[in-house]
Amino acid sequence: MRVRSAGALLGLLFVGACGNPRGGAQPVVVFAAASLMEAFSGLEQAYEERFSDRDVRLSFAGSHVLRMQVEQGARVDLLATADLRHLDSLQARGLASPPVPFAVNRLAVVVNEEGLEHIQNLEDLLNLDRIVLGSAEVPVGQYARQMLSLCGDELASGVMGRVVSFEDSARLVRAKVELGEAQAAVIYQSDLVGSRGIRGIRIPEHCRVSPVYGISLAQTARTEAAEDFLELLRSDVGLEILRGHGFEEVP
Amino acid sequence: MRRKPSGHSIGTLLAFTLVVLLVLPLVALLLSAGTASLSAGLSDPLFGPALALSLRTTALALVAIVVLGTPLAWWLSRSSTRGRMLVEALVELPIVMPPAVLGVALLQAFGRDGVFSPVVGDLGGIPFTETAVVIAQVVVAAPFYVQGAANAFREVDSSMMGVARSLGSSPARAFLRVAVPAALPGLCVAASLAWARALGEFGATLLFAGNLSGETQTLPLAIYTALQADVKLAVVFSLALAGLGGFLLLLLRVLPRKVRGIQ
Repeated sequence: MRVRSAGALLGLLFVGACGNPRGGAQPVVVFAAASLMEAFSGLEQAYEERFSDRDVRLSFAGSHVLRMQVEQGARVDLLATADLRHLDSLQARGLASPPVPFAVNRLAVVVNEEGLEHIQNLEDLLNLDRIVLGSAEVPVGQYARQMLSLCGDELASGVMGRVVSFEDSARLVRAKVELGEAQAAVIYQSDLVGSRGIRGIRIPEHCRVSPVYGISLAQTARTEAAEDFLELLRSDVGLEILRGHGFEEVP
Repeated sequence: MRRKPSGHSIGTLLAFTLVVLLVLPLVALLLSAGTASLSAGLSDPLFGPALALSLRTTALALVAIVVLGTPLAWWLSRSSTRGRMLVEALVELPIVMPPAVLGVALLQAFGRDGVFSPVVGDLGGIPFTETAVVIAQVVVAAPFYVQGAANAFREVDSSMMGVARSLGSSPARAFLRVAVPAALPGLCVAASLAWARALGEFGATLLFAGNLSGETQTLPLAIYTALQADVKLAVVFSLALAGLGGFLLLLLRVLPRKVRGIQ
């Protein structure tokens, strides 16, 4: 009987081991902000087509989580975040190279169908009662706060009073609106590409902010393969991929 | 003539309410995933590696939990010292701690900036590896096994052990031939609970092991990532995880009866 249960366990281990996807060469590990998910998946594809013997591994999360993982010793080659602040702090600790700005995004105030019934312009956000923003730790949350305060204190405090959740990344914010749990949210323009059932509303000129995305080589980078990725990102091919996913060129 | 509701029917109503509450989210999950998105989701490149990693790491974690946890559970079931209460409380502590707290604690214990790193170095870089995934699963899931196994062992009649010993069995042999078979159904249920908990583990893994597809991205982490790309994808992954968990729980309840039947 003991032999049988041991056999069952071994069988399961075997099933697991067969699924081991590990290839030959060391992959290029890229940590990237959640809002870069599709753009960087496109870059991964382009990179692996160009260097057919190399493998790119992508990990997406809020920029502050990525920074924490690097600080705690995650082995990574490149780190791309939605602002330069987190990269600057890693550079100050000797964990990353000086950040290179590679793309500009815009903010988008989005509403789902329910929100659309109550809203014509930005001030009408005060007609709603379920708004979701990014948390103060993630770039999308910081940019949203900047934008609101540029629009005026009244709108800013009114919106903050209607927030039902502060989420950990731009994409988790978007998911809440798509699921109908929030009527409106502040995300990136690029997050509207490939989204379901949400619509952007116009943001007045005077409250616009322009998020700048940065990328750094990590201290643990194996430089050649990582620098090739960086080069691809900043080439015309890379720029085309970024544009296709709603990003803009750094002026 | 109206009868007063009997205690029996009130009990049924209460039990039914809880079952509905537990099952309703799963039914909603099933209804919200169409068959088209189901097949598309299961062929997503994130799914295969995450499933394989989840099966492999939870199997390893379960072996570690059973091997390390069974002697501990036996001691807890037999000891009457005051130290037993303390050990029992310590072992159950991870159940009441939020997994994210455990993740941070594991980083402090094994991480590059951890409290022991001046003494032991970075321990070969455990964080953000598959080993870290297994360690996180062991820490969150072991208490469920140890607790359940200790309860199962408490049901074992001490006099049966005495008889085996008087017939010349060594303590270890008596334990394996008498105590373990007698407690087997309870041990299997405890193991299945621990396995299911390890399978669902998310918070500690995210912080301690990271979220890299093919290396440390288990199914729950893949769901978290999918939620940021496509909500429908996350629904399909969740459904797969729920199905797998349900299957394992059933299997480990049926298995001991079958084994007994053969004996």
